[in-house]
Amino acid sequence: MIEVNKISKTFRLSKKQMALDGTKNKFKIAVDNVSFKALPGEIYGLLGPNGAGKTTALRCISTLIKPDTGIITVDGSDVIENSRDVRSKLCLLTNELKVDPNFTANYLFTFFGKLHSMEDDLIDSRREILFSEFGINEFADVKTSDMSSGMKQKLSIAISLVHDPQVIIFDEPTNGLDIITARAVTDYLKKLRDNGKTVVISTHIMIVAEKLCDRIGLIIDGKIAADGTLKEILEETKADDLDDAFFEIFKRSREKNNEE
Amino acid sequence: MRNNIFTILEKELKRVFLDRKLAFAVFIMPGLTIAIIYSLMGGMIDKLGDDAREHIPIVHTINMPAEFEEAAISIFGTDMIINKSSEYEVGAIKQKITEGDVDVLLVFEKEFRKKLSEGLPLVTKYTNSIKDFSISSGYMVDNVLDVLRKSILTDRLGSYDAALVFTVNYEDVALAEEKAGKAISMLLPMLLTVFLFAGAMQVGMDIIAGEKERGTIATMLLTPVKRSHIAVGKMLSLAIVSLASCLSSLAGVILSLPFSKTMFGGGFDISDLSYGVSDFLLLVIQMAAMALSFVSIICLISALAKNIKEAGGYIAPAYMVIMVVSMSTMFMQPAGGWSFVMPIYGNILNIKNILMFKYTMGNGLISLASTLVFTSILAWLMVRAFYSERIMKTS
Repeated sequence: MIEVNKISKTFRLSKKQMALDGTKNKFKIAVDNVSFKALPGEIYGLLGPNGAGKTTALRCISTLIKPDTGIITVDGSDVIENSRDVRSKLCLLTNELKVDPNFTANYLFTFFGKLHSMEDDLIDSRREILFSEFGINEFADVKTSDMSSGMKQKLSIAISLVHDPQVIIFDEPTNGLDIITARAVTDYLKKLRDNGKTVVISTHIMIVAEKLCDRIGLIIDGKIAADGTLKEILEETKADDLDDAFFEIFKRSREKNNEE
Repeated sequence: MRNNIFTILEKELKRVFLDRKLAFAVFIMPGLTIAIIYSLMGGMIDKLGDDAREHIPIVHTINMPAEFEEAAISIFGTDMIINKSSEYEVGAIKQKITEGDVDVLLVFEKEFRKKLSEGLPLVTKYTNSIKDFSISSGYMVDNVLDVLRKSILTDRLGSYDAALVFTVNYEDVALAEEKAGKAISMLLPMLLTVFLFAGAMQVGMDIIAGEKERGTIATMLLTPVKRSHIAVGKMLSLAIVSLASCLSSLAGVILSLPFSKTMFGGGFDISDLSYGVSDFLLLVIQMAAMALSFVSIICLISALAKNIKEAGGYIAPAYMVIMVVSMSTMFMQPAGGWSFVMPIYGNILNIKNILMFKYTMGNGLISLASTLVFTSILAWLMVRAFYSERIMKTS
C-alpha cells in the first residue's frame, strides 16, 4: 500500500525554464499538499494534463527525489527514512529510464537481479516468467543497441519487475508504445492487480484511466482536485464520461484558484 | 555490500572488455602505438647522429695557413673538403652557409703566421646554428684548430706540456645501473603519469556522464543498492582499466627501448637496467595509487557534468595540470619528505626513485597515505553528487 500524506515539492527554475514557462518566478510548485492512497489489489491512476505534477509525485514515491514536506510510506516504510527498503519493494517504469546499450537482455536482467540481492535460481525463474510474458526470449541474447524501441521498452519493463515488487509505479504506461505492446502492458498491469499488487499509474489519456484504473486522482496545477472511483467522479460532476468530468473539475479548479 | 560493489565493478569491466573496439583502443592500441612511435623516434634521432657523422664538411677558408690544412688532413683525411677563397667572397660564402650549401667559413687574419709572433691574431668562424651539418662541421673545425694551436705551442715552447699547469683525470664513480636508472627516470615517470590519466579519461567520461546522458543511471539508482556502492564500484573498475591501459603503454616503452634508448638520454646499456620483481611490484603499487587519484578526479568531474561533452570540457584542463605537474618532476629533486605528502606529485617522485634504485619505504608509505586521504575526500564528494537530485538529473 502507498500512503501519500500532504506532500509538496518545489523546483528552482533555470533561466531557460523560466523563459519556456513565461514566468519571472524562480520557483515552481510542482506538487502542492497532495494526499492519496493506493491499496493492494487495485490500480490507482493519477490523471492530469502535462506539467500537472503527476511525474513529480511518482518520483517522490519511488525515492528518486525527496518531497520538501509531507510523508510517503510504501508498505509501511518511509521513503526518506528507509529509502533502500522502499526501493526493494517497488519498481518505477517510465520512458525516461533507459537500458544500457552495451549488453544483452539476458545480461542486464541478471545484473539488475543481483543488484536486488537475488539468488541465481530466483533470477532464472523470474526470467522465465517475464521473458515469456513480454516475448523477450526471441531477442534475449541481442545487444540492446541492436533492438527496436519496442523491444527496449519490453526489456525495460521486465528488468524493473525482476524482483517481483509488491508496488508497481508506471509513469504514462502506454506512451511511445505500439498498440499491440500497449495492450500487452495494460493487460499485464491488470494481471498484477489481480495478483494483489499495488499499481499506481500516471496518464493524461482519459481512455486509459477509464479502462484501467479502479480509482482515479485528478491532479491539476500540482493539487489533487478529485479522488475516487470512476462512478464516484461521474456522479459528483454529473458527467457522462471521464472526459467531461475532467473538464468540469478543471473549470472548477481554475475558478477556485482565481478566487484565491 | 561487497557483493554489490563487485557486481557493478564486474559490469563496468565487462562493458570495456566485451567491446572489442573499445578494448583494443584502451589496452592494445596505447602499447602498440608507443612501441612503434618511440622506436621510430629513437631511430630518427640515431639517424640524425649517423648522418652528421657520415656528412663530409665543406669548409671555406680565407688566408689559411698551410699548417691548418695539414692538421685537417692528419685528422680527417679526405673526410673534410677545404676550399681556399678570397676576402671578396666572404658575403657570398656566408649566404651559402645560410642556405646550407657550405658548412663553415673560417677567416684567418691577414699574415696570420707573422702576427703569431706579434700578438693574438684573430680567427673568425662562421656557422649556421639552425643547420645540423653546419653545427657538427663547426665542432670538427674546432678539433682542427685545437691541433693547430697545440702545434704552434709546441713550436714556441719546445713541448706542448710546457703550456700546461696541470692535468685533470675525470673518473665517474656512479654505478652503471644507477646511471641507466637516472637516464630512464628522467622521462619515464612523466610518460607513465600521462598514460595513466589518458587511459582513465576516455572510459571515465562515459562511465558516469555517459550514463546520465543516456538515461541509464536512473535505472541503477532505483535499485536498493547504496549510491556509495555504485560510486565505488565505478571508481574501482575505472582504476583497473586505467592501470591496465598504462601497463600496456609501459610494455610499449620497454619493447621500444632497444631502438628508443637515445630518446631517453642514451649513454647507458639496457642490460644495466637490472630491476627486480620487487621494483616492478613497487612501481605497480605507486601507479595504482596514482590511478586511484586520477580516477577520483575524473569520476567526480564526470558525475558533476551533464553529459560527455561537458565532462570532456572540464577534464581537459585537469589533464593539462597533471601534465605540468609530471613535467616538473623531470628536472626537480624532491625538496624533502613533504614533497611526498602531495598526492600525485609524491607518487611520481616515488616512481622516479624506484627507477633510480633510490626508493625508500617511508616515502612510499607517505605517498600511499596521502593518496588514500585525497581519494577518500574526492570519493565522498562524488557520493554526495550521486545523492543530489539536481546533479543526477532525477528531478
